[in-house]
Amino acid sequence: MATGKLLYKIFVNPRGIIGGSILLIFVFIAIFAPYIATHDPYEINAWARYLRPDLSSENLLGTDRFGRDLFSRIIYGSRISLVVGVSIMLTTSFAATFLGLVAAYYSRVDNIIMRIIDGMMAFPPLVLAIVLMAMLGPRLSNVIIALTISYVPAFTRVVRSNALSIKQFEFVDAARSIGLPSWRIVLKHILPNCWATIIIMGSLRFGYAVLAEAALSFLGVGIHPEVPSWGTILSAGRDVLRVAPWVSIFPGIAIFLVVLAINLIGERLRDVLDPLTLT
Amino acid sequence: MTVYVIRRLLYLIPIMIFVGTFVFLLIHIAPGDPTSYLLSEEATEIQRQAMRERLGLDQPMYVQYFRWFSQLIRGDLGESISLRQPVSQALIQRLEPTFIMAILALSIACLIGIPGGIIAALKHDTYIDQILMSIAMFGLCIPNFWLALMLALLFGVYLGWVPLVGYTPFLEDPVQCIIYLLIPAFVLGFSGRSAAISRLTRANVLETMGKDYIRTARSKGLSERVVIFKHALRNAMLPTITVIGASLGGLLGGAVIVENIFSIPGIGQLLVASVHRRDYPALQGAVIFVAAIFVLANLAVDITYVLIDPRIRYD
Amino acid sequence: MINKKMLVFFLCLVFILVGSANILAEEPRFGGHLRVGLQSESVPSLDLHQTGVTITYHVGWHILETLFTLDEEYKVIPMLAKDYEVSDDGLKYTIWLRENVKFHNQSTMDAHDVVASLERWAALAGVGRRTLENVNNLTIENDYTIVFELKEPMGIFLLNLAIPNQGAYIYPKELVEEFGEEDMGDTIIGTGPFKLDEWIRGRHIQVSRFDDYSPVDFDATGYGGKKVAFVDRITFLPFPDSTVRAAAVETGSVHQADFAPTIEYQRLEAHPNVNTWMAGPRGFDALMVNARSELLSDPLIRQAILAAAHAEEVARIRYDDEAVWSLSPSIFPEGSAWYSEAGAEYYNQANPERARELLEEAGYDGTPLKLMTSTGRQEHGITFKRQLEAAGFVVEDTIVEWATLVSRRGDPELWDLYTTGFTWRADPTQLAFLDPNFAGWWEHPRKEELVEKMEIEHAFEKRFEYWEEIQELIYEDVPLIKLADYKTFRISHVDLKNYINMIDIFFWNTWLD
Repeated sequence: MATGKLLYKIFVNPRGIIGGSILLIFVFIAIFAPYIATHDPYEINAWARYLRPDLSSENLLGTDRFGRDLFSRIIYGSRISLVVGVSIMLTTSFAATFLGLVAAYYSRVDNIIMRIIDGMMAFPPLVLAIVLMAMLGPRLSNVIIALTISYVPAFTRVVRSNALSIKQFEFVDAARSIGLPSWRIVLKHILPNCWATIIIMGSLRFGYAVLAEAALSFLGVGIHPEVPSWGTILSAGRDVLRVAPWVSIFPGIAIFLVVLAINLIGERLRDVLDPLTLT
Repeated sequence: MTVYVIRRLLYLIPIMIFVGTFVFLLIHIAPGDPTSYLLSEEATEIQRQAMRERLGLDQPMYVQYFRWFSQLIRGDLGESISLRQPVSQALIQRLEPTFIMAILALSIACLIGIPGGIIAALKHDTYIDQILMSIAMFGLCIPNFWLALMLALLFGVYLGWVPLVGYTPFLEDPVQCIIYLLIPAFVLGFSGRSAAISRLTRANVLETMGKDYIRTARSKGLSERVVIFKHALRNAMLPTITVIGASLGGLLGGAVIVENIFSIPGIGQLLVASVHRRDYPALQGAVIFVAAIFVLANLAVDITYVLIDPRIRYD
Repeated sequence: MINKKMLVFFLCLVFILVGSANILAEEPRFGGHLRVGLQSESVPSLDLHQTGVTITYHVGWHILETLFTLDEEYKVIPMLAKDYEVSDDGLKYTIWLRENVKFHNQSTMDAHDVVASLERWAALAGVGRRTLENVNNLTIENDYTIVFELKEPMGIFLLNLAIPNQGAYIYPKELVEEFGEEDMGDTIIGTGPFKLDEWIRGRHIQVSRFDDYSPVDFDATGYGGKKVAFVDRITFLPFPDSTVRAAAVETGSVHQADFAPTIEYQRLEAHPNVNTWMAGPRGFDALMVNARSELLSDPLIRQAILAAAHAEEVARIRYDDEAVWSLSPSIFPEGSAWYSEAGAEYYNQANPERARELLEEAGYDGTPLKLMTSTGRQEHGITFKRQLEAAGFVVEDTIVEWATLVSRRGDPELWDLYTTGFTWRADPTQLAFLDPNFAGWWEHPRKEELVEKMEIEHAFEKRFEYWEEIQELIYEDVPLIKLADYKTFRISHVDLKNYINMIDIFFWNTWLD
């Protein structure tokens, strides 16, 4: 399918349009953050702490513990969250697809891969990420590494189980019987039938990643807390829920919107790509 | 089948060894040691060194590893450095809230997710389908971390119906205990989990409904009920079970966040606290414990697989 | 108008009622079960020779006692000791013990128990080691008299025997012999007004009244004087989360909680069930300067950092409410005998221009300044970083877990500055940063000399003189940068009566309504 036609199919649809526009808006915000933000997101004002949101004032969405402008921090936060989300979606999808397909098709390596995966999967992903972060230290790149390592095993398992069930279909047997090389069978027959799973799982990871970034910050092992990310902002909100709920409310809405957009697009992708749903 | 189950149970052993060794390495490589929480902030390096010697932390890592490992083989998880109690005892104390919360959460997820998914599939392309899938979408996109905060804000701060955070042991006051766990469990069950279950259920029911054998069943003149429940659902449930099984890992992970937000003294809280305190035995024990539960759950999933889908055989 | 009058009348009535209620409450009442919310589930030990972590002695000193303790002005008074005498040259201390003081195992405390305990204390605690290293001879003259012969005079000798954190607690000799340097676990036996009932790790610690407790014969003052266990039992329960801890006091499920959330100060103060307390200043926040750092070997650069420091800004962000912090150049808080304004002109300068000038003079080349902060003090790190940058420094900051910071601060290559805090001590010589072994490694010949003089000297005037000079040096040589003083915000339920608010918490002499 040509890319242009594919994009047309995905986005000329109410869900595709909504998802696409939200995502575009956030990409726009991320790129032009310095022009949109009203303040330096790092600027401290100890005499203007926890100001209420007030659209008629200088601080549209209020301020945080440091008296920093929340609107500007959330605007800048889109950069971190999109980077984290996109990187982890790509790294996990790639690694899991590769491992899952190899494991499903080549029973010899299946055992090795699945034993390691079993071991890794015995860790709840977040727990593994916490321990990894304790070891690696608080950096954005480390968050991406830790979360990728944590998310790949479960993802791989699902891809593999999906591929295994496809492997049992007659057309795979047929392809094998006419002597197609195995990598061709995997790429031409099994992979296309796994797209739906990969896309659903992949888009889920985007949301998980944005959320996990927040969770790691909350648990004290996230990225540097001064850096404006939706995670760092949100994690500072819990202790002041009673006094300054706005610190928690707005970054959460931003996360929700981005994840919504990604999921809507993911769903469209699934509808368009998945031949089973098409027929 | 019995042989298979026994083999899988035996397989638990290498997995636990892998898990234990892996987490041992990670946390020992991580900078810092438990003395930072055992001594006051103003302690000097000399005092710290003395404490390290007393705890045996000055020995080479492999010596510590083998000491811990030989204990583990005898079924002894060691003693928590920060809590001054056997790790197994600490785990048992903290199992209750996590367990109740996980059960509640999983029930909530299935109760919302499975019927939702089936109904949506059967009412495919109607407004019911759209509403249900919108709810699922909402559950999928809403960050559980944030949902937890918002529900705490609504019910704890504004309405004042429930205490903001905290926990009461079940035996002390069962009602209060459930009240404390209701929002955390709902958050865990609803966001992500129920949505994933309902979406997958719907997709699979739809998929199987289009399969040849369903058409065959229909053409045989079987009633729609029989077709749906006996043939379609049975086959559609297979991936759903994987997701529920896999949910348990996510659930335990989610429990870490939720227990820390709501300050529930469960396994998740112990895990995080042990990481920060570098309480090596407690962390290793907790991770092994969680891992064991998780692997057993996977085993249960695989067995159910066989029971549901006769095409899959483990010999 | 009528409404206003009514209101005034009503208020008067309320005041009278409250007043009379207070008078009624003055009547001590025996009995009841007191519950205390602890700030952590981790109580590393109740064996108080082992560690000085605050939570350990806040629980443990209900069970164990020392020979001396501190009165309400934090001056040394006898507790298990009856009296003492110091020879004129300051080299001989004779201590007479109180007779018929019972341990919880019914044995009677005598000089043998004391000497065995002190020796164990010297083996396990830093202060103990420093104290007994200076003792040539420790002799038991009779069952209730011990004599210390010192190598050199030691002005803080009795104080060291009185401090609560990792102090010289007295155990029965048999127990000391049984355990040696091992942790006693829950076999803790002391002479205190409460005895240990059970310690379920991670759940609770419970103590109950020791019926055969023998109190001293003078009125209660500070941590000493006549102690009475009014309540039957005290249960210490872990509430690691400050919000939960505060809520537990509001609902009455515990009666007292330390380290309450400062952000909720206003609300809790207005709460009808809650009494709020500010204890201290408990200590001060500081930035430790690495004396072994190449960059900071230039005193001009250290002065530049000092000039850039804006303590008020840091405190406002860190402590939420003005009731919690105060600014003072003195290392010791106002009201303390050691309060001094020496070097005040250097404190809280908040002068980036001056810092810039100093940097220029020093020829600062933009080498990054490594600032290390623990997650628990991130407000300090983040704010101070901005202040340094405003002064022209290039700052490379990391925020790490506490455990990581503690291990990294031991390596002078890894940091130039780190954020920390120091708790108030009864005597300047106990300040951790004066010890050249403490991470920061401040060495200065004049300081060493003054500290030594202080340790020997007895006369307060002389010692104060030395201390003022040390404080002056702290501002000139900049081994650390003092920020604001902080108080501990604690709350108690209104049912808890006669709570005595000192820096450290205790529950003898308090009762429940």
